[in-house]
Amino acid sequence: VPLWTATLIGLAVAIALSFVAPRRFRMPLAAAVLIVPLAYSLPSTIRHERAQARAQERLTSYERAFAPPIHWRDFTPNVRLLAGLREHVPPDATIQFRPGGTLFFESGWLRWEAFVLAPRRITTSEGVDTPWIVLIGESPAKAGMPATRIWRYGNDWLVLS
Amino acid sequence: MPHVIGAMLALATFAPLGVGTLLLCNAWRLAGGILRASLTVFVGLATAAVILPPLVYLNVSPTIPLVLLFGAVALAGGLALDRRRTPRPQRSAQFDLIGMIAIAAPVVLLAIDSFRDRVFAYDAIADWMFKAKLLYLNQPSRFAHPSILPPVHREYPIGLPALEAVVLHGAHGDFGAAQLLYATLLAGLALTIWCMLRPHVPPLVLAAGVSVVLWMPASRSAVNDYADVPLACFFVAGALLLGAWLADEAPGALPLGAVFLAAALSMKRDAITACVVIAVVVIAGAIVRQRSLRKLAIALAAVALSAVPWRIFLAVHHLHETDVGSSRLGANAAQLGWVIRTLGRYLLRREYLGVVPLAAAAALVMLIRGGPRLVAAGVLAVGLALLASLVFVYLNATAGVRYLVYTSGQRTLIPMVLLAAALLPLLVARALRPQR
Repeated sequence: VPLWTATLIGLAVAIALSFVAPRRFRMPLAAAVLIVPLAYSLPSTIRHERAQARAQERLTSYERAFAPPIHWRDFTPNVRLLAGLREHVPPDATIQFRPGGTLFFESGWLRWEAFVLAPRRITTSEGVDTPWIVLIGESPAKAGMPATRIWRYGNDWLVLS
Repeated sequence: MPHVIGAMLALATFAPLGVGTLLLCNAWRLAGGILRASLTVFVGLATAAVILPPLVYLNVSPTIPLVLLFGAVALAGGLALDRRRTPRPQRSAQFDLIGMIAIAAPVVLLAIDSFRDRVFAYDAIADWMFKAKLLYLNQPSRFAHPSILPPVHREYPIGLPALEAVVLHGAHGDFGAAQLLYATLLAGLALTIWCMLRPHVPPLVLAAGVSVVLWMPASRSAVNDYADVPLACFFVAGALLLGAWLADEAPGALPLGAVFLAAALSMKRDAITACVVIAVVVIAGAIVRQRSLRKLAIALAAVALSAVPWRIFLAVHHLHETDVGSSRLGANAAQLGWVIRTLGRYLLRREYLGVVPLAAAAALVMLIRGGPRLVAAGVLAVGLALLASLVFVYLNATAGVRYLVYTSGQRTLIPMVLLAAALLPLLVARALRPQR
């Protein structure tokens, strides 16, 4: 029986009983009607919350800080790059992302990056004057970019120009 | 643990503002003892949600000292005003032991789970938690800059990020601890329900009713993820207070209700339609019950005025609604049946515990059995009008009606669902024991 049907049946039974039950039993009947949906859902609600809390407790501090809470089917985020950006780029800096590969951004990943990196600003605008540049899927040599320092994270590079 | 204690202390700093607001609204005697003391934080959060956003628009980041400063001003003003008033004999709502247990148990469990949580949902990361982090890091206008990624919804009101930023200061930037804010908001709603309904409903029924609100899977799982639950907490509190003013002109209920509705408006733009519905129904009720329309007009005007800084901010930054227009009704009219069916189907989902059909059925029984007909008719009118307003909004979608309903339909129903759940104890009690 769907939960909403059970609650309506509970109300109907209570109303029917209220015609015959003594007056002092009517409020316990009302409370019983309200307990029907709780009885239906409470065990699974508590189980779900406990399972979620346990899953959170198993995360390492690195995962808690950097791993995105969203999973994508066709996109593997570069979590090491994100951790590297937070380690090397000063908080007041702007980071320019330059797409080099075929797949540039998953918008959800971009939002997670912005959230983790804030207050650092991230931008894809060409005209922004910043020494911090991230090359996606392209090396600085291939991009012909002069660099003071370079950090490599898989196929992506952080460049201090 | 220091982060959690810090977040709790930050939440406690809203209490003086709450006390000041209760005094200024002449609502100090609505509740007594522990109930009143517990309510002050929730009222303080509502007031802060109204007064902090205009400062953010002026490039001032919300901080704990700022909240304490506002609290001191409100407290001084409230005390001065309260001394001049002639005290009227009034029965204050009190806490019963069963109520304390019914509210404390689910809230404490939720709070313990909350502060272990990471920020989970896409909406939170993408929008209001991101803005809260910027406010916490003293970058109040950053989100308004169009060249900055990600392209967050800059047109949304900023009330929730402002509150979150204050709690983040106490939690030293720990987002898990700062999520105690949401458990506090749910607790505040439950306390308001207790305060408003206790004079009309026996404690046993009321305890079962607040348990439905606090154990509802939709409100518990979504409270950290969607701004709709905080919106619903303030909206439902406001609606209950306006209902109390209509029912028995409870002193202070009207201005305090206006504060809560204004706080709901500062959470999300979705509150606009909900507040309009409540305003229309309360005006109709005030005419029928012969309440002061002048007082009501002042309160509703204050609610509308609270949104003016936000609208000015939108105009100054040339920000516009992106997914809902105002002239799509004709083009989308053919979707009317589908939207109603889909929203109706959502309302029957397990996460909502069937509270809307139960509330509607109880109200109908009240009408038939001769309970307080105005209450029953008012509840049905509010429910139908809230649903109609949602349908109207969805039919004006510019991004595709079905896409918008699929992606947001379940959370936009939360204010209506929580209102139904809040009213259930009253409706079921009256349906079983009609009292004129």
